Amino acid sequence: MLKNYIKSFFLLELLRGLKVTFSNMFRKKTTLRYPYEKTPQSPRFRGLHALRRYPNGEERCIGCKLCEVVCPALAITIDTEERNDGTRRTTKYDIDLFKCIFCGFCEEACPVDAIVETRIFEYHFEERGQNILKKSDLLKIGDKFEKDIAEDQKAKSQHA
Amino acid sequence: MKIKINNKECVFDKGDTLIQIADRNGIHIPRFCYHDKLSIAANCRMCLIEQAGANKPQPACSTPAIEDQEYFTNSDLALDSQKNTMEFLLINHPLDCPVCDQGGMCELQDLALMHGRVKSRYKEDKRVVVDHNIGPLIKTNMTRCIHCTRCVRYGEEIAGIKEFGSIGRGETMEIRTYLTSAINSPMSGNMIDICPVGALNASPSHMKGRTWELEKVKFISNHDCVGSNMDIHVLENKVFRVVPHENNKINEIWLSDRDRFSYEALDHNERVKKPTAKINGRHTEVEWDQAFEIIKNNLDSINSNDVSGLISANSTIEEQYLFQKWLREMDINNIDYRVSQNDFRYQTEEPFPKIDIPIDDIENMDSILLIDSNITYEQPILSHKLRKLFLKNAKINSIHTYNYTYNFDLENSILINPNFLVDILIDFVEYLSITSNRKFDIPAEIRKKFKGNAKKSVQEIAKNLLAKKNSLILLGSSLVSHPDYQLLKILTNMISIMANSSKGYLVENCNVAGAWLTGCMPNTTKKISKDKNSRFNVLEAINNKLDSYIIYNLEFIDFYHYKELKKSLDNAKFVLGFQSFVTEEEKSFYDVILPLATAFESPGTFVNIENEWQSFAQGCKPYYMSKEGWKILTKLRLQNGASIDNSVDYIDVLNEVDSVVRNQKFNMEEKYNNLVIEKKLNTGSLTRFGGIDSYYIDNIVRRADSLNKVNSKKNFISVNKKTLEANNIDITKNKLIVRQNDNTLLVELIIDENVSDNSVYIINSNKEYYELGKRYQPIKIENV
Repeated sequence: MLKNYIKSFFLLELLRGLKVTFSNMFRKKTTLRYPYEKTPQSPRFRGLHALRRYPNGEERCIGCKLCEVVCPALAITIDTEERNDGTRRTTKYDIDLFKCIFCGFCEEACPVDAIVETRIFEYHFEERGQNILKKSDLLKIGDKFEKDIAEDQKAKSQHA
Repeated sequence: MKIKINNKECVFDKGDTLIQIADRNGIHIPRFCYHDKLSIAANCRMCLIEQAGANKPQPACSTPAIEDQEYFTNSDLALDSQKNTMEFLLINHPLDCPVCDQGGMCELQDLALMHGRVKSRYKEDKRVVVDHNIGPLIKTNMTRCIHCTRCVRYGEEIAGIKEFGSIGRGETMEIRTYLTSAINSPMSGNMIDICPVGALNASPSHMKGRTWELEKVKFISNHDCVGSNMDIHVLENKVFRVVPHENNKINEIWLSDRDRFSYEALDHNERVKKPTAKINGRHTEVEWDQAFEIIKNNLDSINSNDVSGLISANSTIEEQYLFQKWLREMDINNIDYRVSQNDFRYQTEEPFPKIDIPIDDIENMDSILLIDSNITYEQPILSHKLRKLFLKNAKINSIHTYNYTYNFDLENSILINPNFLVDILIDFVEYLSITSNRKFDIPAEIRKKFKGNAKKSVQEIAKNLLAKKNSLILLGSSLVSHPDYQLLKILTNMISIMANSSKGYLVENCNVAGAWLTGCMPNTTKKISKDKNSRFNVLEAINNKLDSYIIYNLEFIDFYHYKELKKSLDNAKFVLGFQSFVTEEEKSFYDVILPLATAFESPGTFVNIENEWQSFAQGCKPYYMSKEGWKILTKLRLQNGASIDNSVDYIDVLNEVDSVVRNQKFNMEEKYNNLVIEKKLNTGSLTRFGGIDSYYIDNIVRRADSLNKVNSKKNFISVNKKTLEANNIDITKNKLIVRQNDNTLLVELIIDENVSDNSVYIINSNKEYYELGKRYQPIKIENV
């Protein structure tokens, strides 16, 4: 009873609170000036999707549809056909980014590391329909960032 | 007797192998080479289990159980040996399941997950095997083969093909056809099912989808009279593939290629998409309502006696029932389904197309007589039953007009010209009337034909039938078009009574029994029709050149009187077609065509020859604008003011058919009157005979691409040497001209001693043969 009275009379709680305030005031800032500065990312970051190719230009995807079936949000739609050389290839590979929850299961399921989630997270849509990434879009992303993706894939394989 | 497996007590009979006992008791043992319908090979070593006290693991598939022994399927020894076996199997098997079509339904994949190591330790090169083309139905990928030899044993034991086997030893062992040739069997597709890996895959569905995307619907085969059970796998509202559905009473776990691959026709470019009507002489696509109106206006203006309704025996029983009901409500009674039949004499009523015994009972017969039946190609499932019999040493005899290829061997066979088929059956009757103790009142007309000395081969076969307790006589399905078909049936019936055998009239279509039961024929004495007047059957309907024809799910070449039909249709005022498929040529004959859903796209019921009713659900939605037959017919009945509830459902229709048809007692006894033996066939000149190619029998099969690649579509005829010499044909040339009436056809000649004398064997496998003329008619052959 007396203890509490003394505590409140000398504003001890207030001072304790202010201690936190002042100690943080001089700590290094975590806020970033976003477009100019960016947070560091893990190689396992799950951003925009991409379809990769082999170094010889052949697309990796074999149309096995494992990503389609594992996708919990049913965001992936695939059509396949047999190509002249006897391999199965996709004729349609759509990802609906409105449905996608970026869980990374597709990447995990892919037996040939064709579908990957890149570190890209800054994008926008201007028209209805742009939310659906087509096979050509995905391959374009893959082609553009192949170097980074390959590095990330290598880093990821360390964790396996 | 008892053993213990995993401390669970299991009862067994002497000689049972461990895997059988385990399967019965729900104990899992991994296996690849073992298959309960095939012989035991014990070459995959996957089923190794531990026997208490033994120092080595035992293969469960080939080890008979020993009384009071203890076995363990999940002990360290068992699991370890299974794991090691799996590792060896995976050494040469590619580990690229996502590429493989079998992925997702692969036995190796499943067992590797359960019994394999997590990672492969194998770093060396893998074996690669060159694929050989074994026909248009099976796609091979032999690198994936694990040499379980199920396919080889299936070929030898079930299908009766000996061209498929293993070549080489060890690393170079290969499963392939000995010569680079296609597998020639009407049941080859089953190899795809029994292959535990992705080495043998279905060619038509190859790389078109993944197993987990498919929906399964049970279906009944619609290409032969057996009624095999199958599952259709549907992908995005299209039939993706067909696999057998186990039914031990009918097809066991097998399916004929025809049933398996016919679905390919469903999106053929000859499918009817929209209702079409001839307006001002031109075919125009119309709306359904408009089409119904045109039909009503036209049928109302025509005398109901001048209309004939012809329905396919491949339609479901609901369609057949509603079809005859719709027509009879309009007082149209010239209804028939027997379009390939040529003989309508003698019988007051068509005998019920039925086999006397259940299909699975065929296995218990001791003696079989086939009458001109190409059963191996026409009813492959029945042929499989006969093969089982043959392997059990039952005697199979045959009277045939061509030495057909069977997958069993014949005890006695008589090769005879089709003209003398009746005579030889009379010989049988004569011989049996003397030797059999079952007397039969043989009509005087037949008695008159007795010659007094039956051939020795006839005696042999008759003795064989008499000596055995369980015997069966099967009348071949291609005889339906024989000019003496009714007489053949009467004689078969007599023989079966006197020889104390069962009999079966095999038919070409899947629901002939249904058409018979629903009364889709004139002069039916059944309760369905109260009509007492004499009505036209299909032959009379065609010959009398009626004003209007209604053709349901039939193509013109399904008719025996193909050319006469075309002439009659040309003269008719109004021709209505309910068609799934129509060719450009046939289209011009119709005034209205309604697009009809195929059986795959509609619910329905088929009645097979053992009078087994089998219903199936709708597999996928009807193609484009087409509608299910029962819907169209119900709508037409509603239009005519029939008192039907507007919200009628398929189940209501099925219930109605059930109550009206199924629960009705029919008099199945065979009656005949005015028996006059006047043989219709002429004996003077050469006779054309031969059935329809088994991949050309109905409108669906005809359009199935892969099946039609199996047989060569070249025009050819088979004639034996003696006949050729008698007709002064130059044998050195392999071409000749065949002539029927005024029509000629240039064909390739095959000199074939399997053909009887004075006859020309033609397998009807394309339209040109139908344009040439009819089966069982005189034919001339000339040098080019």
